[in-house]
Amino acid sequence: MDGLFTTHSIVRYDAMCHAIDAAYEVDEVKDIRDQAIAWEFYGRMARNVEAERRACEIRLRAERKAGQLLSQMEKAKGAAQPGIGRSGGTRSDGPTALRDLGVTKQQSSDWQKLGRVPQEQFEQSLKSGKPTTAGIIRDTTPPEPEKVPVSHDALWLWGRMLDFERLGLLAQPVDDVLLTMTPQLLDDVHRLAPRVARWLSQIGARDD
Amino acid sequence: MTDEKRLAELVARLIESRRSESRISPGWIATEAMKDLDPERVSPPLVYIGCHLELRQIARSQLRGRFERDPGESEQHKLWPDLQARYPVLRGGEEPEYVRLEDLTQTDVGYNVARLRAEGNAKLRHADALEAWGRSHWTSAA
Repeated sequence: MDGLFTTHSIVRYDAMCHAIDAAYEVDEVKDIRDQAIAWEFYGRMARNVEAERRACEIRLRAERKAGQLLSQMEKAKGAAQPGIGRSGGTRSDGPTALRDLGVTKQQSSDWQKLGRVPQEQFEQSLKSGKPTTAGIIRDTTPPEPEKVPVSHDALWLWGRMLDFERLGLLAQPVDDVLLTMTPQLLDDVHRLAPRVARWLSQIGARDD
Repeated sequence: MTDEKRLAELVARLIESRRSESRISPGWIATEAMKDLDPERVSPPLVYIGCHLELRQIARSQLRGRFERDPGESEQHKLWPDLQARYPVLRGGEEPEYVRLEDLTQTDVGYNVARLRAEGNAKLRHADALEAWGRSHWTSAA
């Protein structure tokens, strides 16, 4: 059996790590990753824990490198992009390019996240019991701050403030706006205006 | 003239004939239309009911269009130009009658104010949310 089960497995492991580092095309590292998955499987079947662990490490390193290359490809969109690789005939970006590479959108997203994990943290994660792509991403990505939905009151206030500007009320003399109001409407306005003004004055101006 | 158009014209004529009445109900319009279409009542009961339902539907749609969607046709109120000549009022039944502005009760006004405010607020909230989203979306993309 070839690969990590040979007597030269450590040499082979180092060579593969080096190959991953040196790779500059996604499909190169994708090939290594696919091979590592097979080795991982054989290792598990053969109950060879060490071989399985090494294959897993190679797979994760390959995924991380692929993620970094995919990020570069995305950044280079519109400009001259790095080659897709040996098998990729097309140089288009986006889903077509991913399909050509045999990479799903989810894999692309996960691997790019893995690619953003700082090297030191990544190496640390590999030493943990049974590292996985999702586990490393989860452990190394700071949780997104929970988004609180904008309340109806907040949205209403914002919208009406903009209305003052949008409808040109701020540019009109107040008396002109009040001119056509009936006495009843005026009563309400006079009763509420000072309270509203007091309330609004609490908002204040922001220094920026 | 197509048969559908004839039916629509018949309904429109009947609505017009009720112009000065306080209330116009789609059910009444449909009954009057049936009298015109089947004066001897020879239709089998189920056919009559089916036709009556369809005519009510046509009447409802015309009343809505005439007094809600296109109030511009009616004479404008001098002080409050946005007001309609008639408003839908639910009186126990499932179908609104269209009542003249001057004949609305306080409850009718309250019902319509609440209805219009709910519709308006929902639209305003939607517009505000979309505008806010647009601003943040294109600001963060820039």
